[in-house]
Amino acid sequence: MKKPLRTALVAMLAVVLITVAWPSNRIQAQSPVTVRVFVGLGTGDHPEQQPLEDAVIKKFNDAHTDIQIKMDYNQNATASSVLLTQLAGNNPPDVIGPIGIKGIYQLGDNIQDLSSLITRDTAALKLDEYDPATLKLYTDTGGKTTALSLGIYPSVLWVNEDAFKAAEIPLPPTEFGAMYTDKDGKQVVWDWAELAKVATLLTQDKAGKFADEAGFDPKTVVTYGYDDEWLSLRNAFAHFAPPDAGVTADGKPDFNNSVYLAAAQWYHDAIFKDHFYPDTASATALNQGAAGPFASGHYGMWFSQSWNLCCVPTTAVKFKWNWYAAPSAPGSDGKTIVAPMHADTFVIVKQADKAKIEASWKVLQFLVSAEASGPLCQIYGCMPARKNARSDWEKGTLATYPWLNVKVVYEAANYLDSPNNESFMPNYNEADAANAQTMSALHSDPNLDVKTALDNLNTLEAGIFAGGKAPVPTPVPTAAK
Amino acid sequence: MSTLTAEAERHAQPITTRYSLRTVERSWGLLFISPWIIGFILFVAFPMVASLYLSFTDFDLSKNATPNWVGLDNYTQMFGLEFKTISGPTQDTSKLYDPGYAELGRIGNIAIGAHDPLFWKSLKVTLLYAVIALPTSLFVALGLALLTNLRLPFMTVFRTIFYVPYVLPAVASAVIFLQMLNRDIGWVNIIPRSLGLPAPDWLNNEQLVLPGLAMLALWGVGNAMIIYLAGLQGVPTELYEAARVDGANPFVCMVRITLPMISPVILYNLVIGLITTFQYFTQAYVLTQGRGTPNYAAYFFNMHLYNEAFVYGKMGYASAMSWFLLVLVVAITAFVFATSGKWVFYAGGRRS
Repeated sequence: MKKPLRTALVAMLAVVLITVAWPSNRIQAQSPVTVRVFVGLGTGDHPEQQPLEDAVIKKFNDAHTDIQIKMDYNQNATASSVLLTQLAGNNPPDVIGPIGIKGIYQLGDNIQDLSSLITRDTAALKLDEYDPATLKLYTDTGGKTTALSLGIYPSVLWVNEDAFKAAEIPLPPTEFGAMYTDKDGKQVVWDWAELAKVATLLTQDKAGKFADEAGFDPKTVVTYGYDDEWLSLRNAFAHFAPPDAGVTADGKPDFNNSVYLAAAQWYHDAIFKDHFYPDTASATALNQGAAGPFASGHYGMWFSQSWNLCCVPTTAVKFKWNWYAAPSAPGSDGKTIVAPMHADTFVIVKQADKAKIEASWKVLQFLVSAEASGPLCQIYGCMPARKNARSDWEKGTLATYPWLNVKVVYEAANYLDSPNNESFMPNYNEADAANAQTMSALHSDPNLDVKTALDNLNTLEAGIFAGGKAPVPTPVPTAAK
Repeated sequence: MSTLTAEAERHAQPITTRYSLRTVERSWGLLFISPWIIGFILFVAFPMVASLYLSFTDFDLSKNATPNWVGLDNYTQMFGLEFKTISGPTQDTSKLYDPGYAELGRIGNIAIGAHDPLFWKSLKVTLLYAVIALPTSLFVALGLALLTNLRLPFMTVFRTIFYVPYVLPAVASAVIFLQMLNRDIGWVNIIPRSLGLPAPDWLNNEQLVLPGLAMLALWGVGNAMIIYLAGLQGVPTELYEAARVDGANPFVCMVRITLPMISPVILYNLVIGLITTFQYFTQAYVLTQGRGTPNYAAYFFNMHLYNEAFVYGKMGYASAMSWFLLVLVVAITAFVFATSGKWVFYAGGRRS
């Protein structure tokens, strides 16, 4: 009796194994290709965003039987680690996004080059709908193009109108290139030098003294005239219209050019000489508990990209604020204005399966199309890169912030930095980390010799660009007192 | 009679089965611990072997390529140094080093280039932190144990209060200390601020950031305190009575009785403290946003390892770094054990 039972068990096991292992080509041919979209590196992971994104994706899935999009939502805090694990485990997603310019370069060779696909399908892509400045965002110095733009975040000056009222100072202009009427009623060029003067007049200590008054105590400032601490070094210095974004056209570091030097000195003086910009310790103290630095109410002016809308909740921010025009570069007589931009989009992960690449390309075309980019940008807060998709974005933004000078951000899109402040650097992650160290020193070391710091940074970056490890910065001589 | 004899004969013969009782018991034991064994193999042993293999490859996640065997390249990159003579301390050395090398530092007229200067910098930071924080933590923990060993009211409450920070999550503790160490509003600076003195900027001053982190380390001495307390309560009281009869003062009792009797506990805390110090990461990462600022003054070895692995994607190189760290910690621990014979007293006699 035991032998027949054993035989029966072996036969059953064989049937199961054969069924599982039998090539089911007929079945596969009928099931659609699933394109997995990894979400979480940037925005898009919030619980309230997910059903809205699903609704956009549903339009594609309902219209296609051969390809289905599957959204893979991951919490932003852990998304980077999860993605790296999937890449290392040979289980990569097909599409990643929304992802910023920096994020794309950080993923390096994992991203598919779309150059040939874009060339092949140019007519279908309707590239003439794009803001021209956004078309080169994702092309590196080697000619590889990793994405088409989904949405952009131009930068504007965020102004605390109540702080201006308290200091009895006229508000900045809302039009780019317009003159500014100063406290004395004079028409002056609205540039970064004038912004520094205005910021000084706005800065107020605990006793109520403004920075231009006798008895002002820089150690007890409660309102700083200006701040932009969330900007990276290349982002912050781009305001001053440098010749490049720290990298020359032939891929060499250029972090100690004269414009970068002037910008770095402007920041260092703003913090440690004129005291209208907080150092790191003061900023940490003032920002605690707030959704973002500008929302804390401790700054008269704040500069950042429009994504900062994430961090000025109408429920928490009690002061009056609005968007205003960026100042022009110093010494340009108002003629050169740069409003550095960020952007979000989707990219395809490089893989050997050509059919999957083609399916992912179809998905990507949908995600950046006018049909999808409008609703997606409303979810993410970006301004659609396609001009014909911007009206819905504007309606959605004004529904939440009805007072907003939206035309400022439209105008800002005409003054984008080129090359972009997040553009390609060799060994991107390490180069970016070296920049962050210098920016941190700029914000915290009162004795920093700015020129030596930038010279050191340039030497650092030369090593990093060449593939070597980041050199340890040698101690910077303290500035002569 | 013959049945009884046969029965007796059967019982008299040893029972021979296919497996002995010992084998059967061993099999059952293995079966019960097999979940642990499988877990150990899958989640500890196999990853360790894999990382050892990867340390000899160029595995780089950012390059989307399969790992290639490169032998000792990762290790030579880690340890690679070159020494160049310069005319003076201020000479421009940007073109002095071989390709792939960058300046590590200068000693007089000798300029030192390294393949990975941040490897040496992070190692120096870690060792410096160990010198500052480890003895301080051991001393404070012992002090707290001595205090809480006193027979006073509410001592259990104090033991609990001192122990609780140890069970708090490291990230939460670090976030709390981000505020406590703040120059303008931190509690640590209450005294200098109230006296109108300049308040130290613990987190943004290169000379103060490691002492600031050492203060954070003191927050978690509760575990060491409890272990010391157990050791103190194991010291026979008749030794103190005998010493008092001989006229010994409290200091002499401490030096001649307490410390030798708890020396095994000190050894245990020292070894655990060493291992923990060389694994230091979470608090520094949270307090400096992963950058080790200011100017890499808080850039610990594990932060460099983490960045190499999970930010830059250089898994092969990071694996080599992790094996170096293992060997270093084992070597230091072995040295401590080797020297322990000279200062650790075991009541039962010297350990073989």
